Amino acid sequence: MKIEKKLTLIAIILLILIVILTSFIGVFKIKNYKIENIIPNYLTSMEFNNSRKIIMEIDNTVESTSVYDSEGNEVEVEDGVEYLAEDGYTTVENKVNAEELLKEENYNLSKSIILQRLKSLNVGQYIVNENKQNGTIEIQIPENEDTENIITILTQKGNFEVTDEETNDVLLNKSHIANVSQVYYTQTDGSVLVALRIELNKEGKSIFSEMSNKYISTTEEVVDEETGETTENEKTSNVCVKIDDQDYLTYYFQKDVATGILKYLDAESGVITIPFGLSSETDEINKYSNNALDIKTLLDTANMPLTYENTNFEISPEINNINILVYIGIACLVALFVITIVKFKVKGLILAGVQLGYVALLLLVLRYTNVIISLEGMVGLIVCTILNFALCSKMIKNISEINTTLKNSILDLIPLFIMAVTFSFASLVNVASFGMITFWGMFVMYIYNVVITKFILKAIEK
Amino acid sequence: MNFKKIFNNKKNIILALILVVIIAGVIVKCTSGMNYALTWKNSSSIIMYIDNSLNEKDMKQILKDVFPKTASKVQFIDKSESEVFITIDKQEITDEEKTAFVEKINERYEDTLTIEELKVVENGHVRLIDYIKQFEIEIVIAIVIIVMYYIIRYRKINTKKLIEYLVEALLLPELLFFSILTILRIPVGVWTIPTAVCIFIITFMVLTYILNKENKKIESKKNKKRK
Repeated sequence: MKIEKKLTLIAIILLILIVILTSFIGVFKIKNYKIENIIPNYLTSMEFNNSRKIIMEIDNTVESTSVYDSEGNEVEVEDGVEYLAEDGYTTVENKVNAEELLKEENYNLSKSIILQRLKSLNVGQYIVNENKQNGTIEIQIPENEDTENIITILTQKGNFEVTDEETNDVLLNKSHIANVSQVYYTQTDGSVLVALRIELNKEGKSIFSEMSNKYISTTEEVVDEETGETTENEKTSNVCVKIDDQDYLTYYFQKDVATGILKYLDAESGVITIPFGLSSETDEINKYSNNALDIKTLLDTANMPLTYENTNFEISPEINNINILVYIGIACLVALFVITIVKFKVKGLILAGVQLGYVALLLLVLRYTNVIISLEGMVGLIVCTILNFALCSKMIKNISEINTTLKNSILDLIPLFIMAVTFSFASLVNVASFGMITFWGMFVMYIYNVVITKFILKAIEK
Repeated sequence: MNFKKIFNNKKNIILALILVVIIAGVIVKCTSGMNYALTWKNSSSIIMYIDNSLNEKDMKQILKDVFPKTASKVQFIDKSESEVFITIDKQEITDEEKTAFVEKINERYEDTLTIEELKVVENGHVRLIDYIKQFEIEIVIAIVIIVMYYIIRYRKINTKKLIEYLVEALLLPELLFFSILTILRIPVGVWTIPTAVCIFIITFMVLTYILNKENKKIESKKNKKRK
């Protein structure tokens, strides 16, 4: 073997050693008077971390009490007066959720709305269970900085109304919405207005068009009786856009607005635009955008048919002893190495080192690419390790035909690669974790074996 | 139909056995459903707070005494050691059981907990189908592309035979797995999907090996003919 090749071999072996040490032990640096590992930590899924439990129980509280006389007419209740049954009065308790609403159909509807909202909010992992007898819904979601916001959206009724500001009469509701989209309007000064565009359906548009004649700004001429002076008073008749009784827009229909200027209530196109904030700062724009997306989720899903009493708390992980899984992993790896050494003797020993280098490199890649490790992801990790072992074994057996072995192996692994890439786009963290780990596992496997294993095996052969 | 001929073939016998297990699984699923793991099945939860620090081991022992032969799980709430969320494999907890539980807690931790202070919730079960629905599109896309890949790569193999192989590989192992889970009452929980994914991968690896063999056979036959 030429001296350059020998040096390259030594360099590669040293490189593998460095990767193994970096991955399994770490790189330590003094930071804020503390020794800290500068390699990023592993990100794990909900099963291994604290999560939030939300218990939604049907609200059984009494909202009001109605009293009826012997003829069935409702009586106006006066303080200090007792309305007794022997006098012919009937007292009826009005619960928050009427008795006739408490049925399985509504329980199921609530659950399906929650599932839709979870999907729309891009919650990566969730467990939802429903008690069909009493309507209690239990939700489990990961604990992070978005959790509180998600809970607020999940438990909201989602009632959308456009009302008369003065009389509070409902003019439009959710049934009049055709489409909701988030929009950005860039202003001349470079700032961005984040808004929600609510497009009305045919029926909504026709009501909206009628409303545009009533809810406008008018000017009245008022004559001062004492001085005789005439002043112009502007009077506006507004509509309110409300979601769960919270005002999001109070405005009137503007006429004669120049083209290019945004109309919040556009009667011609039947569109309501709710502004969420104007800023040129990316962080602020993102904040407004998230608020708009939350409201979009509420508008895209139906109203919750029932009112719930909510309890939520953070709970400890379902699998709280991750060490057991790590020990199992180490045991499997050792078993694999023993098999390799028994089967291929000295070459096997080198192969075991190369294998360990592969696992170490893959784990480093997973840490730097922020891949979340779930149980499904661990399956991906095990599969990739076994496949790498199989590929290396094949390469040892056919050192003279290494390139053909690599080519055939790639062809054989394409179905798994397709599966990995497709699953990487899954919204469910567990499945995406499997996809991403398998994708990186196969990518690293190919590069590692083409560059390192192939070189080492050829060098040994010589 | 020549049954003697059919059952002379080893593959047919295995297929028949698999089908029997799958049918049995479907029957058990329709009659008694699947057995879910504790956190996925119909259960009851107790949310409890006391002034002292609770110990998981002690809590498990108390639960064992009050609810013998019943699976339970203790999880701490809000990183505190005095508040716990207990899941018990029971659809309803009686007043006697609540009293016994409170007495045991008070005795062990010298506390004054009352039944009224316990929050008991009756939980429904998680539906496996709701879980699978979260990635059904990805499964369908992956299967369609993989099938197309196999059809292109192994075009030399008889298409009917290839489709037969693919259908068997896609359906039988997974159906067999879920049937075995149902028949043997193995709890469906966090480990189910990872195992199913594992079976899916092994099946495709085996299928690739078989198809490669078939392909080689066809190629060697062709080569012989040419010679």
